[in-house]
Amino acid sequence: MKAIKVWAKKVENGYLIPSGILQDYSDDKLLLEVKVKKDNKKPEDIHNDYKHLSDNGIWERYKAKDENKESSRLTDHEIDQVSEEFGLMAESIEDLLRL
Amino acid sequence: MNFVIDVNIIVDLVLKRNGYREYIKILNSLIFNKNGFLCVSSIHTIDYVVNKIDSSKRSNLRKLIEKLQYCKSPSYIDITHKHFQVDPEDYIVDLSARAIGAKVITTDKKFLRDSEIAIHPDDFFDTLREDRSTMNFIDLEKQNSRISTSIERKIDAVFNHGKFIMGPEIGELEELLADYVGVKHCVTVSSGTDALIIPMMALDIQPGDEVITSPFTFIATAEMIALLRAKPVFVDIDPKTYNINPDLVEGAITGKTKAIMPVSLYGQCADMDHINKIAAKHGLPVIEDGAQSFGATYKGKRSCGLSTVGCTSFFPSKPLGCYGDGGACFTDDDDLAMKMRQIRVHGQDRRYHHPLVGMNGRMDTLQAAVLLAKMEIFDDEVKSRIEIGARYTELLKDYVVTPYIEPFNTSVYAQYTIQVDERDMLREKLDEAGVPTAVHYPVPLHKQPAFKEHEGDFLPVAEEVSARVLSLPMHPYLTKENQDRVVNLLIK
Repeated sequence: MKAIKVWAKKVENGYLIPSGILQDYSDDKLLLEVKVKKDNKKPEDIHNDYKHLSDNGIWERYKAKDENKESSRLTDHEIDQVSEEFGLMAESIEDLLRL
Repeated sequence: MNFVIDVNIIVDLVLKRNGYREYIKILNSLIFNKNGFLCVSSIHTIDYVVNKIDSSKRSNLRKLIEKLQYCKSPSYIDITHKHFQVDPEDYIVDLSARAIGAKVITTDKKFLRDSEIAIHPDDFFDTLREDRSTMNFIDLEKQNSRISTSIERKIDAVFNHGKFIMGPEIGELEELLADYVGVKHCVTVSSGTDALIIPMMALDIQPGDEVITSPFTFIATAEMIALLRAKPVFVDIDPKTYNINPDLVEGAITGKTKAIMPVSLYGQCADMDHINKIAAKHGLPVIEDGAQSFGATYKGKRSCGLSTVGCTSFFPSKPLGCYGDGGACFTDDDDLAMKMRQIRVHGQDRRYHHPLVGMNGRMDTLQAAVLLAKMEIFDDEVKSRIEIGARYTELLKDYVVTPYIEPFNTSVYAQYTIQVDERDMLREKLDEAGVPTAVHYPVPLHKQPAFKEHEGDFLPVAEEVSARVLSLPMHPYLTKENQDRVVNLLIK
Protein backbone atom coordinates (compact mmCIF):
# COMPACT_ATOMS: atom_id res chain seq x y z
CA MET A 1 0.00 0.00 0.00
CA LYS A 2 1.42 3.36 -1.07
CA ALA A 3 0.37 6.83 0.07
CA ILE A 4 -0.18 9.37 -2.75
CA LYS A 5 -0.66 13.09 -2.34
CA VAL A 6 -2.67 14.66 -5.15
CA TRP A 7 -1.96 18.34 -5.73
CA ALA A 8 -4.10 20.19 -8.17
CA LYS A 9 -5.47 23.55 -9.07
CA LYS A 10 -9.22 24.09 -9.20
CA VAL A 11 -10.21 26.18 -12.15
CA GLU A 12 -13.43 27.33 -13.71
CA ASN A 13 -15.71 24.66 -15.19
CA GLY A 14 -14.36 21.90 -13.02
CA TYR A 15 -10.87 21.38 -14.37
CA LEU A 16 -8.35 19.58 -12.24
CA ILE A 17 -4.84 19.95 -13.50
CA PRO A 18 -2.22 17.59 -12.11
CA SER A 19 0.35 19.17 -9.85
CA GLY A 20 3.16 18.04 -12.12
CA ILE A 21 2.06 20.72 -14.54
CA LEU A 22 1.28 23.45 -12.06
CA GLN A 23 3.94 22.97 -9.44
CA ASP A 24 5.05 26.61 -9.77
CA TYR A 25 1.66 27.98 -8.78
CA SER A 26 1.36 29.26 -5.28
CA ASP A 27 -2.41 28.85 -5.19
CA ASP A 28 -2.31 25.08 -5.64
CA LYS A 29 -4.22 23.27 -2.96
CA LEU A 30 -3.71 19.88 -1.53
CA LEU A 31 -6.94 18.26 -2.61
CA LEU A 32 -6.52 14.67 -1.64
CA GLU A 33 -4.30 12.37 0.24
CA VAL A 34 -5.24 8.89 -0.68
CA LYS A 35 -3.91 5.47 -0.06
CA VAL A 36 -4.13 3.08 -2.92
CA LYS A 37 -4.28 -0.63 -2.49
CA LYS A 38 -2.45 -1.81 -5.51
CA ASP A 39 -4.39 -5.00 -6.01
CA ASN A 40 -7.84 -3.77 -5.15
CA LYS A 41 -8.86 -2.56 -8.58
CA LYS A 42 -9.09 -4.45 -11.81
CA PRO A 43 -7.81 -2.64 -14.91
CA GLU A 44 -11.38 -2.29 -16.26
CA ASP A 45 -12.46 -0.63 -13.00
CA ILE A 46 -9.61 1.85 -13.22
CA HIS A 47 -10.56 2.53 -16.83
CA ASN A 48 -14.19 3.07 -15.83
CA ASP A 49 -13.18 5.46 -13.04
CA TYR A 50 -11.15 7.56 -15.43
CA LYS A 51 -13.93 7.44 -18.00
CA HIS A 52 -16.42 8.62 -15.41
CA LEU A 53 -14.20 11.56 -14.42
CA SER A 54 -13.53 12.43 -18.04
CA ASP A 55 -17.22 12.22 -18.99
CA ASN A 56 -18.18 14.43 -16.08
CA GLY A 57 -15.63 17.00 -17.18
CA ILE A 58 -16.96 17.00 -20.73
CA TRP A 59 -20.52 17.36 -19.52
CA GLU A 60 -19.68 20.19 -17.11
CA ARG A 61 -17.82 22.13 -19.77
CA TYR A 62 -20.60 21.63 -22.27
CA LYS A 63 -23.28 22.71 -19.80
CA ALA A 64 -21.29 25.84 -18.98
CA LYS A 65 -21.12 26.71 -22.67
CA ASP A 66 -24.77 25.88 -23.23
CA GLU A 67 -25.93 28.03 -20.34
CA ASN A 68 -23.84 30.94 -21.55
CA LYS A 69 -24.93 31.14 -25.16
CA GLU A 70 -26.19 33.98 -27.26
CA SER A 71 -29.19 32.68 -29.19
CA SER A 72 -29.68 33.16 -32.88
CA ARG A 73 -31.95 35.98 -33.90
CA LEU A 74 -32.34 35.60 -37.65
CA THR A 75 -36.00 35.43 -38.65
CA ASP A 76 -37.39 32.86 -41.07
CA HIS A 77 -37.74 35.62 -43.64
CA GLU A 78 -34.07 36.60 -43.26
CA ILE A 79 -33.05 32.96 -43.54
CA ASP A 80 -35.14 32.66 -46.74
CA GLN A 81 -33.29 35.67 -48.12
CA VAL A 82 -29.79 34.28 -47.44
CA SER A 83 -30.89 30.90 -48.78
CA GLU A 84 -31.80 32.51 -52.06
CA GLU A 85 -28.76 34.77 -52.14
CA PHE A 86 -26.28 31.93 -51.55
CA GLY A 87 -28.26 29.12 -53.19
CA LEU A 88 -28.65 27.13 -49.97
CA MET A 89 -31.45 24.65 -50.53
CA ALA A 90 -30.96 22.29 -47.55
CA GLU A 91 -33.78 22.38 -45.00
CA SER A 92 -32.88 19.38 -42.85
CA ILE A 93 -29.99 17.24 -41.67
CA GLU A 94 -31.05 14.64 -44.21
CA ASP A 95 -30.62 17.27 -46.94
CA LEU A 96 -27.13 18.05 -45.62
CA LEU A 97 -26.20 14.38 -45.67
CA ARG A 98 -27.15 14.22 -49.34
CA LEU A 99 -24.77 17.09 -50.29
CA MET B 1 -12.26 31.97 -45.79
CA ASN B 2 -12.27 28.89 -43.55
CA PHE B 3 -14.60 28.42 -40.59
CA VAL B 4 -14.25 26.26 -37.49
CA ILE B 5 -17.58 25.26 -35.97
CA ASP B 6 -17.78 25.29 -32.20
CA VAL B 7 -19.32 22.43 -30.23
CA ASN B 8 -22.60 24.15 -29.35
CA ILE B 9 -23.57 24.82 -32.97
CA ILE B 10 -23.27 21.18 -33.98
CA VAL B 11 -25.03 19.92 -30.85
CA ASP B 12 -27.94 22.35 -31.26
CA LEU B 13 -28.22 21.49 -34.93
CA VAL B 14 -28.31 17.74 -34.42
CA LEU B 15 -30.77 18.08 -31.53
CA LYS B 16 -32.91 20.51 -33.57
CA ARG B 17 -32.81 23.23 -30.95
CA ASN B 18 -32.94 27.00 -31.23
CA GLY B 19 -31.18 28.16 -34.39
CA TYR B 20 -31.72 24.84 -36.21
CA ARG B 21 -32.78 26.28 -39.58
CA GLU B 22 -30.06 28.91 -39.55
CA TYR B 23 -27.43 26.28 -38.72
CA ILE B 24 -28.69 24.05 -41.53
CA LYS B 25 -28.04 26.91 -43.95
CA ILE B 26 -24.61 27.59 -42.51
CA LEU B 27 -23.64 23.93 -42.75
CA ASN B 28 -25.08 23.81 -46.28
CA SER B 29 -22.68 26.57 -47.28
CA LEU B 30 -19.72 25.07 -45.42
CA ILE B 31 -20.19 21.55 -46.77
CA PHE B 32 -20.74 22.77 -50.32
CA ASN B 33 -17.70 25.05 -50.25
CA LYS B 34 -15.57 22.56 -48.31
CA ASN B 35 -14.45 25.25 -45.90
CA GLY B 36 -16.12 24.05 -42.70
CA PHE B 37 -13.79 22.53 -40.09
CA LEU B 38 -14.23 20.77 -36.80
CA CYS B 39 -11.41 20.90 -34.33
CA VAL B 40 -10.39 17.29 -33.62
CA SER B 41 -10.33 18.08 -29.91
CA SER B 42 -14.07 18.88 -30.08
CA ILE B 43 -15.24 15.68 -31.73
CA HIS B 44 -15.33 13.55 -28.60
CA THR B 45 -17.21 16.25 -26.70
CA ILE B 46 -19.84 16.57 -29.43
CA ASP B 47 -20.24 12.81 -29.67
CA TYR B 48 -20.50 12.38 -25.91
CA VAL B 49 -22.97 15.21 -25.39
CA VAL B 50 -25.30 14.20 -28.21
CA ASN B 51 -25.22 10.60 -27.07
CA LYS B 52 -26.01 11.59 -23.50
CA ILE B 53 -28.92 13.84 -24.45
CA ASP B 54 -30.45 11.77 -27.25
CA SER B 55 -28.56 8.69 -28.40
CA SER B 56 -30.95 8.23 -31.35
CA LYS B 57 -29.33 11.29 -32.96
CA ARG B 58 -25.83 9.89 -32.78
CA SER B 59 -25.95 8.16 -36.14
CA ASN B 60 -26.90 11.37 -37.99
CA LEU B 61 -24.26 13.27 -36.03
CA ARG B 62 -21.53 10.94 -37.18
CA LYS B 63 -22.65 11.12 -40.79
CA LEU B 64 -22.76 14.89 -40.54
CA ILE B 65 -19.28 15.37 -39.13
CA GLU B 66 -17.93 13.13 -41.87
CA LYS B 67 -19.06 15.84 -44.29
CA LEU B 68 -16.76 18.39 -42.65
CA GLN B 69 -13.03 18.88 -42.64
CA TYR B 70 -10.98 18.44 -39.48
CA CYS B 71 -8.25 20.66 -38.15
CA LYS B 72 -5.61 19.49 -35.73
CA SER B 73 -4.59 21.09 -32.46
CA PRO B 74 -1.28 22.91 -32.72
CA SER B 75 1.53 21.75 -30.46
CA TYR B 76 2.47 25.35 -29.64
CA ILE B 77 -0.07 25.77 -26.86
CA ASP B 78 0.67 27.97 -23.88
CA ILE B 79 -0.75 26.39 -20.74
CA THR B 80 -0.05 29.53 -18.75
CA HIS B 81 -2.24 31.59 -21.11
CA LYS B 82 -5.22 33.14 -19.33
CA HIS B 83 -7.67 31.57 -21.80
CA PHE B 84 -6.19 28.13 -21.21
CA GLN B 85 -6.68 28.62 -17.49
CA VAL B 86 -10.34 29.49 -17.97
CA ASP B 87 -11.30 26.98 -20.67
CA PRO B 88 -8.59 24.85 -22.26
CA GLU B 89 -10.96 23.43 -24.87
CA ASP B 90 -12.02 26.84 -26.19
CA TYR B 91 -8.42 27.99 -26.10
CA ILE B 92 -7.38 25.02 -28.25
CA VAL B 93 -10.28 25.55 -30.67
CA ASP B 94 -9.21 29.17 -31.01
CA LEU B 95 -5.59 28.19 -31.62
CA SER B 96 -6.54 25.49 -34.13
CA ALA B 97 -8.66 27.97 -36.06
CA ARG B 98 -5.85 30.52 -36.17
CA ALA B 99 -3.51 27.83 -37.53
CA ILE B 100 -5.68 27.48 -40.65
CA GLY B 101 -6.65 31.15 -40.95
CA ALA B 102 -10.25 30.43 -39.93
CA LYS B 103 -12.94 32.17 -37.96
CA VAL B 104 -14.80 30.28 -35.22
CA ILE B 105 -18.60 30.16 -35.43
CA THR B 106 -19.93 29.99 -31.89
CA THR B 107 -22.85 31.05 -29.71
CA ASP B 108 -20.68 30.95 -26.57
CA LYS B 109 -20.78 34.48 -25.11
CA LYS B 110 -17.42 34.07 -23.43
CA PHE B 111 -15.77 32.86 -26.61
CA LEU B 112 -17.36 35.72 -28.56
CA ARG B 113 -16.11 38.20 -25.98
CA ASP B 114 -12.57 36.84 -25.64
CA SER B 115 -11.60 35.97 -29.19
CA GLU B 116 -11.43 38.39 -32.08
CA ILE B 117 -11.76 35.51 -34.56
CA ALA B 118 -15.05 34.29 -33.07
CA ILE B 119 -18.23 35.18 -34.92
CA HIS B 120 -21.87 34.60 -34.01
CA PRO B 121 -23.89 32.50 -36.50
CA ASP B 122 -26.02 35.56 -37.27
CA ASP B 123 -22.89 37.24 -38.64
CA PHE B 124 -21.83 34.28 -40.81
CA PHE B 125 -23.53 35.49 -43.97
CA ASP B 126 -22.13 39.02 -43.64
CA THR B 127 -18.68 37.48 -43.32
CA LEU B 128 -19.36 35.43 -46.46
CA ARG B 129 -20.43 38.55 -48.35
CA GLU B 130 -17.28 40.33 -47.31
CA ASP B 131 -15.15 37.34 -48.29
CA ARG B 132 -16.97 37.00 -51.62
CA SER B 133 -16.16 40.55 -52.57
CA THR B 134 -12.43 39.76 -52.35
CA MET B 135 -11.28 38.26 -55.61
CA ASN B 136 -7.96 36.48 -56.03
CA PHE B 137 -6.13 36.07 -59.30
CA ILE B 138 -5.32 32.53 -58.20
CA ASP B 139 -6.96 31.07 -55.09
CA LEU B 140 -4.80 28.49 -53.34
CA GLU B 141 -6.63 28.81 -50.01
CA LYS B 142 -9.73 27.00 -51.23
CA GLN B 143 -7.62 24.22 -52.68
CA ASN B 144 -5.67 23.90 -49.44
CA SER B 145 -8.90 23.61 -47.44
CA ARG B 146 -10.05 20.79 -49.67
CA ILE B 147 -6.95 18.65 -49.29
CA SER B 148 -5.63 19.79 -45.92
CA THR B 149 -6.08 16.38 -44.27
CA SER B 150 -4.28 14.52 -47.02
CA ILE B 151 -1.45 17.06 -47.11
CA GLU B 152 -1.09 16.92 -43.34
CA ARG B 153 -0.93 13.12 -43.36
CA LYS B 154 1.64 13.03 -46.13
CA ILE B 155 3.82 15.78 -44.65
CA ASP B 156 3.70 14.08 -41.25
CA ALA B 157 4.91 10.88 -42.92
CA VAL B 158 7.91 12.70 -44.40
CA PHE B 159 8.78 14.23 -41.03
CA ASN B 160 8.53 10.81 -39.45
CA HIS B 161 10.72 8.91 -41.91
CA GLY B 162 13.09 11.88 -42.21
CA LYS B 163 14.19 11.18 -45.79
CA PHE B 164 13.92 14.77 -46.93
CA ILE B 165 16.07 14.18 -50.01
CA MET B 166 14.96 11.46 -52.44
CA GLY B 167 12.54 9.95 -49.96
CA PRO B 168 10.03 7.29 -51.01
CA GLU B 169 7.47 9.93 -52.04
CA ILE B 170 9.73 10.93 -54.95
CA GLY B 171 9.54 7.47 -56.53
CA GLU B 172 5.83 7.24 -55.81
CA LEU B 173 5.19 10.61 -57.46
CA GLU B 174 7.36 9.82 -60.48
CA GLU B 175 5.47 6.60 -61.07
CA LEU B 176 2.12 8.34 -60.71
CA LEU B 177 3.04 11.25 -63.00
CA ALA B 178 4.62 9.05 -65.68
CA ASP B 179 1.44 7.00 -65.72
CA TYR B 180 -0.69 10.16 -65.84
CA VAL B 181 1.24 11.62 -68.78
CA GLY B 182 1.49 8.23 -70.50
CA VAL B 183 5.28 7.89 -70.77
CA LYS B 184 7.85 5.46 -69.42
CA HIS B 185 9.86 7.90 -67.32
CA CYS B 186 9.24 10.89 -65.08
CA VAL B 187 12.26 12.59 -63.53
CA THR B 188 11.23 15.08 -60.86
CA VAL B 189 13.48 18.09 -60.41
CA SER B 190 13.82 21.11 -58.17
CA SER B 191 12.06 23.69 -60.38
CA GLY B 192 10.43 24.28 -63.72
CA THR B 193 13.58 26.09 -64.78
CA ASP B 194 15.78 23.08 -63.93
CA ALA B 195 13.29 20.96 -65.86
CA LEU B 196 14.34 22.94 -68.95
CA ILE B 197 18.09 22.93 -68.53
CA ILE B 198 18.49 19.30 -67.41
CA PRO B 199 17.16 17.74 -70.66
CA MET B 200 19.25 20.18 -72.70
CA MET B 201 22.33 19.07 -70.74
CA ALA B 202 21.33 15.44 -71.25
CA LEU B 203 20.96 16.10 -74.98
CA ASP B 204 24.47 17.59 -74.92
CA ILE B 205 23.55 21.10 -76.08
CA GLN B 206 26.88 22.90 -76.30
CA PRO B 207 28.03 26.55 -76.44
CA GLY B 208 27.34 27.95 -79.90
CA ASP B 209 24.53 25.47 -80.64
CA GLU B 210 21.15 26.87 -81.61
CA VAL B 211 17.81 26.01 -80.05
CA ILE B 212 14.62 27.19 -81.72
CA THR B 213 11.99 28.55 -79.36
CA SER B 214 9.18 31.06 -78.85
CA PRO B 215 9.81 34.74 -78.10
CA PHE B 216 6.46 35.04 -76.35
CA THR B 217 6.80 33.28 -73.00
CA PHE B 218 8.42 33.56 -69.57
CA ILE B 219 12.16 34.19 -69.82
CA ALA B 220 13.20 30.81 -68.30
CA THR B 221 12.90 29.02 -71.64
CA ALA B 222 15.38 31.17 -73.54
CA GLU B 223 17.35 31.91 -70.39
CA MET B 224 18.30 28.24 -69.92
CA ILE B 225 19.41 28.00 -73.53
CA ALA B 226 21.61 31.06 -73.00
CA LEU B 227 22.90 29.75 -69.68
CA LEU B 228 24.42 26.81 -71.59
CA ARG B 229 26.03 29.42 -73.89
CA ALA B 230 23.85 28.15 -76.68
CA LYS B 231 21.82 30.57 -78.80
CA PRO B 232 18.05 30.91 -78.60
CA VAL B 233 16.61 31.33 -82.07
CA PHE B 234 13.23 33.00 -81.81
CA VAL B 235 10.49 32.04 -84.22
CA ASP B 236 7.33 34.12 -84.30
CA ILE B 237 4.08 32.86 -82.87
CA ASP B 238 0.71 31.90 -84.28
CA PRO B 239 -1.62 34.90 -83.84
CA LYS B 240 -4.51 32.72 -82.67
CA THR B 241 -2.92 30.26 -80.22
CA TYR B 242 0.15 32.38 -79.25
CA ASN B 243 2.27 29.24 -79.58
CA ILE B 244 5.26 28.97 -81.90
CA ASN B 245 4.17 29.06 -85.55
CA PRO B 246 5.16 25.66 -86.95
CA ASP B 247 5.10 26.98 -90.50
CA LEU B 248 8.04 29.23 -89.62
CA VAL B 249 10.13 26.67 -87.75
CA GLU B 250 11.77 24.93 -90.69
CA GLY B 251 13.05 28.22 -92.09
CA ALA B 252 14.94 28.84 -88.85
CA ILE B 253 16.85 25.55 -88.90
CA THR B 254 20.56 25.87 -89.64
CA GLY B 255 23.56 23.58 -89.41
CA LYS B 256 23.94 24.67 -85.78
CA THR B 257 20.40 23.84 -84.69
CA LYS B 258 20.44 21.17 -82.00
CA ALA B 259 16.87 21.19 -80.69
CA ILE B 260 13.40 22.70 -81.02
CA MET B 261 11.76 23.90 -77.81
CA PRO B 262 8.10 24.83 -78.33
CA VAL B 263 6.20 26.31 -75.39
CA SER B 264 2.63 25.23 -74.64
CA LEU B 265 1.50 28.69 -73.61
CA TYR B 266 -1.39 29.55 -71.30
CA GLY B 267 -2.26 25.86 -70.91
CA GLN B 268 -2.65 24.84 -74.55
CA CYS B 269 -0.17 22.58 -76.36
CA ALA B 270 1.68 23.81 -79.42
CA ASP B 271 1.05 21.95 -82.67
CA MET B 272 3.35 19.13 -81.69
CA ASP B 273 2.71 16.74 -84.62
CA HIS B 274 3.68 19.44 -87.07
CA ILE B 275 6.79 20.36 -85.06
CA ASN B 276 7.77 16.71 -84.51
CA LYS B 277 7.53 16.06 -88.24
CA ILE B 278 9.91 18.91 -89.06
CA ALA B 279 12.25 17.81 -86.25
CA ALA B 280 12.28 14.22 -87.47
CA LYS B 281 13.15 15.39 -90.99
CA HIS B 282 16.21 17.19 -89.61
CA GLY B 283 17.08 14.66 -86.89
CA LEU B 284 16.40 17.09 -84.06
CA PRO B 285 15.00 16.40 -80.60
CA VAL B 286 11.89 18.31 -79.47
CA ILE B 287 11.70 19.57 -75.89
CA GLU B 288 8.15 20.63 -75.01
CA ASP B 289 8.10 23.41 -72.42
CA GLY B 290 4.85 22.40 -70.77
CA ALA B 291 5.30 24.57 -67.69
CA GLN B 292 1.77 25.93 -68.16
CA SER B 293 0.07 22.97 -69.81
CA PHE B 294 0.40 20.01 -67.44
CA GLY B 295 -2.96 18.24 -67.64
CA ALA B 296 -3.82 19.57 -71.12
CA THR B 297 -4.35 17.20 -74.03
CA TYR B 298 -3.31 17.29 -77.66
CA LYS B 299 -5.16 14.89 -79.97
CA GLY B 300 -6.07 12.83 -76.92
CA LYS B 301 -2.53 12.60 -75.53
CA ARG B 302 -1.34 14.51 -72.50
CA SER B 303 1.05 17.45 -72.57
CA CYS B 304 4.66 16.54 -71.72
CA GLY B 305 4.27 13.15 -73.39
CA LEU B 306 4.20 14.42 -76.97
CA SER B 307 7.85 14.62 -78.01
CA THR B 308 11.41 13.55 -77.20
CA VAL B 309 11.09 15.08 -73.77
CA GLY B 310 8.45 17.18 -72.04
CA CYS B 311 9.11 19.49 -69.10
CA THR B 312 6.80 21.09 -66.62
CA SER B 313 6.78 23.35 -63.60
CA PHE B 314 5.07 22.84 -60.26
CA PHE B 315 5.42 26.49 -59.22
CA PRO B 316 2.55 27.14 -56.77
CA SER B 317 0.40 29.08 -59.24
CA LYS B 318 0.64 26.44 -61.96
CA PRO B 319 -2.32 24.11 -62.68
CA LEU B 320 -0.49 21.49 -60.61
CA GLY B 321 1.58 23.41 -58.09
CA CYS B 322 3.54 22.44 -55.01
CA TYR B 323 4.39 24.48 -51.91
CA GLY B 324 7.52 26.01 -53.37
CA ASP B 325 9.55 25.25 -56.48
CA GLY B 326 9.36 21.94 -58.30
CA GLY B 327 9.35 20.52 -61.80
CA ALA B 328 9.54 17.34 -63.82
CA CYS B 329 10.82 15.95 -67.11
CA PHE B 330 9.03 13.19 -69.03
CA THR B 331 10.34 10.86 -71.71
CA ASP B 332 10.04 7.43 -73.26
CA ASP B 333 13.78 7.37 -73.96
CA ASP B 334 15.56 5.11 -71.42
CA ASP B 335 19.00 6.57 -72.06
CA LEU B 336 17.81 10.17 -71.83
CA ALA B 337 15.94 9.41 -68.60
CA MET B 338 19.05 7.85 -67.08
CA LYS B 339 21.16 10.90 -68.00
CA MET B 340 18.59 13.32 -66.60
CA ARG B 341 18.49 11.33 -63.35
CA GLN B 342 22.27 11.54 -63.14
CA ILE B 343 22.44 15.25 -63.99
CA ARG B 344 19.90 16.19 -61.30
CA VAL B 345 22.23 14.69 -58.70
CA HIS B 346 25.64 16.14 -59.64
CA GLY B 347 26.07 13.81 -62.61
CA GLN B 348 26.31 10.89 -60.22
CA ASP B 349 25.50 7.31 -61.26
CA ARG B 350 26.44 5.83 -57.90
CA ARG B 351 27.63 7.36 -54.67
CA TYR B 352 30.63 9.68 -55.26
CA HIS B 353 31.07 8.52 -58.85
CA HIS B 354 30.32 11.19 -61.47
CA PRO B 355 30.42 10.26 -65.17
CA LEU B 356 28.74 13.59 -66.07
CA VAL B 357 28.88 17.18 -64.88
CA GLY B 358 25.52 17.77 -63.28
CA MET B 359 23.85 19.95 -60.72
CA ASN B 360 21.85 19.89 -57.53
CA GLY B 361 18.44 19.57 -59.16
CA ARG B 362 16.47 17.17 -57.00
CA MET B 363 12.91 17.78 -55.91
CA ASP B 364 12.46 17.92 -52.11
CA THR B 365 10.55 14.97 -50.66
CA LEU B 366 8.16 17.42 -48.97
CA GLN B 367 7.19 18.88 -52.35
CA ALA B 368 6.57 15.38 -53.69
CA ALA B 369 4.30 14.71 -50.70
CA VAL B 370 2.32 17.87 -51.44
CA LEU B 371 1.98 16.95 -55.11
CA LEU B 372 0.78 13.44 -54.26
CA ALA B 373 -2.02 15.00 -52.23
CA LYS B 374 -2.83 17.49 -54.98
CA MET B 375 -2.97 14.77 -57.62
CA GLU B 376 -5.96 13.31 -55.73
CA ILE B 377 -8.07 16.24 -56.93
CA PHE B 378 -6.20 17.22 -60.08
CA ASP B 379 -8.62 15.66 -62.61
CA ASP B 380 -11.49 17.42 -60.90
CA GLU B 381 -9.63 20.72 -60.94
CA VAL B 382 -8.74 20.37 -64.62
CA LYS B 383 -12.42 19.73 -65.36
CA SER B 384 -13.37 22.91 -63.47
CA ARG B 385 -10.70 24.92 -65.27
CA ILE B 386 -12.04 23.79 -68.64
CA GLU B 387 -15.63 24.66 -67.65
CA ILE B 388 -14.67 28.06 -66.25
CA GLY B 389 -12.57 28.86 -69.33
CA ALA B 390 -15.42 27.87 -71.65
CA ARG B 391 -17.87 30.02 -69.65
CA TYR B 392 -15.57 33.06 -69.84
CA THR B 393 -15.33 32.58 -73.61
CA GLU B 394 -19.09 32.22 -74.01
CA LEU B 395 -19.71 35.42 -72.06
CA LEU B 396 -16.89 37.51 -73.57
CA LYS B 397 -16.61 36.35 -77.18
CA ASP B 398 -18.65 39.25 -78.59
CA TYR B 399 -16.63 41.92 -76.79
CA VAL B 400 -12.92 41.01 -76.72
CA VAL B 401 -10.53 38.58 -78.42
CA THR B 402 -10.97 35.40 -76.39
CA PRO B 403 -8.52 32.45 -76.32
CA TYR B 404 -8.64 30.23 -79.39
CA ILE B 405 -8.39 26.57 -78.49
CA GLU B 406 -7.62 24.24 -81.39
CA PRO B 407 -10.38 21.64 -81.88
CA PHE B 408 -7.87 18.85 -81.19
CA ASN B 409 -6.68 20.48 -77.94
CA THR B 410 -7.95 20.91 -74.42
CA SER B 411 -6.49 23.78 -72.41
CA VAL B 412 -5.97 23.80 -68.66
CA TYR B 413 -6.08 27.61 -68.75
CA ALA B 414 -3.01 28.23 -66.64
CA GLN B 415 -3.99 31.74 -67.67
CA TYR B 416 -7.21 32.92 -69.22
CA THR B 417 -5.82 35.60 -71.50
CA ILE B 418 -7.78 37.93 -73.73
CA GLN B 419 -6.72 40.69 -76.11
CA VAL B 420 -8.02 44.19 -75.55
CA ASP B 421 -7.47 47.74 -76.74
CA GLU B 422 -6.26 50.26 -74.15
CA ARG B 423 -5.06 47.55 -71.84
CA ASP B 424 -3.48 49.75 -69.19
CA MET B 425 -6.61 51.85 -68.74
CA LEU B 426 -8.72 48.70 -68.49
CA ARG B 427 -6.38 47.15 -65.93
CA GLU B 428 -6.62 50.25 -63.82
CA LYS B 429 -10.44 50.21 -63.90
CA LEU B 430 -10.55 46.52 -62.99
CA ASP B 431 -8.07 47.06 -60.20
CA GLU B 432 -10.19 49.88 -58.78
CA ALA B 433 -13.17 47.50 -58.78
CA GLY B 434 -11.15 44.88 -56.86
CA VAL B 435 -10.49 42.59 -59.83
CA PRO B 436 -6.83 41.52 -60.06
CA THR B 437 -5.34 41.03 -63.52
CA ALA B 438 -1.89 40.27 -64.94
CA VAL B 439 -0.03 40.61 -68.21
CA HIS B 440 1.60 37.49 -69.58
CA TYR B 441 3.89 38.88 -71.08
CA PRO B 442 4.36 42.61 -71.63
CA VAL B 443 7.72 42.41 -73.41
CA PRO B 444 8.64 39.65 -75.88
CA LEU B 445 11.96 37.99 -75.12
CA HIS B 446 13.84 39.45 -78.10
CA LYS B 447 13.10 42.91 -76.70
CA GLN B 448 14.45 42.11 -73.24
CA PRO B 449 17.76 43.78 -72.31
CA ALA B 450 19.21 40.36 -71.48
CA PHE B 451 18.78 39.39 -75.15
CA LYS B 452 19.83 42.66 -76.72
CA GLU B 453 21.58 40.85 -79.55
CA HIS B 454 18.09 39.78 -80.71
CA GLU B 455 16.65 43.28 -80.59
CA GLY B 456 16.43 43.48 -84.39
CA ASP B 457 14.65 40.12 -84.79
CA PHE B 458 11.53 40.47 -86.94
CA LEU B 459 8.77 38.98 -84.79
CA PRO B 460 5.73 41.19 -85.44
CA VAL B 461 3.02 38.91 -84.03
CA ALA B 462 4.78 38.50 -80.68
CA GLU B 463 5.29 42.24 -80.49
CA GLU B 464 1.68 43.03 -81.32
CA VAL B 465 0.04 40.61 -78.90
CA SER B 466 2.41 41.49 -76.05
CA ALA B 467 0.91 44.99 -76.16
CA ARG B 468 -2.67 43.71 -76.05
CA VAL B 469 -2.88 40.60 -73.85
CA LEU B 470 -4.55 40.68 -70.45
CA SER B 471 -4.97 37.71 -68.09
CA LEU B 472 -8.12 37.51 -65.96
CA PRO B 473 -8.64 35.79 -62.58
CA MET B 474 -8.55 32.07 -63.26
CA HIS B 475 -8.54 29.10 -60.92
CA PRO B 476 -10.70 26.01 -60.38
CA TYR B 477 -12.58 27.65 -57.50
CA LEU B 478 -13.63 30.83 -59.30
CA THR B 479 -17.34 31.25 -58.59
CA LYS B 480 -19.90 32.15 -61.22
CA GLU B 481 -20.65 35.32 -59.24
CA ASN B 482 -17.04 36.46 -59.39
CA GLN B 483 -16.76 35.48 -63.02
CA ASP B 484 -19.90 37.52 -63.78
CA ARG B 485 -18.38 40.46 -61.93
CA VAL B 486 -15.27 40.34 -64.14
CA VAL B 487 -17.31 39.93 -67.31
CA ASN B 488 -19.73 42.75 -66.49
CA LEU B 489 -16.90 45.12 -65.69
CA LEU B 490 -15.14 44.26 -68.94
CA ILE B 491 -18.29 44.73 -71.00
CA LYS B 492 -19.01 48.04 -69.30
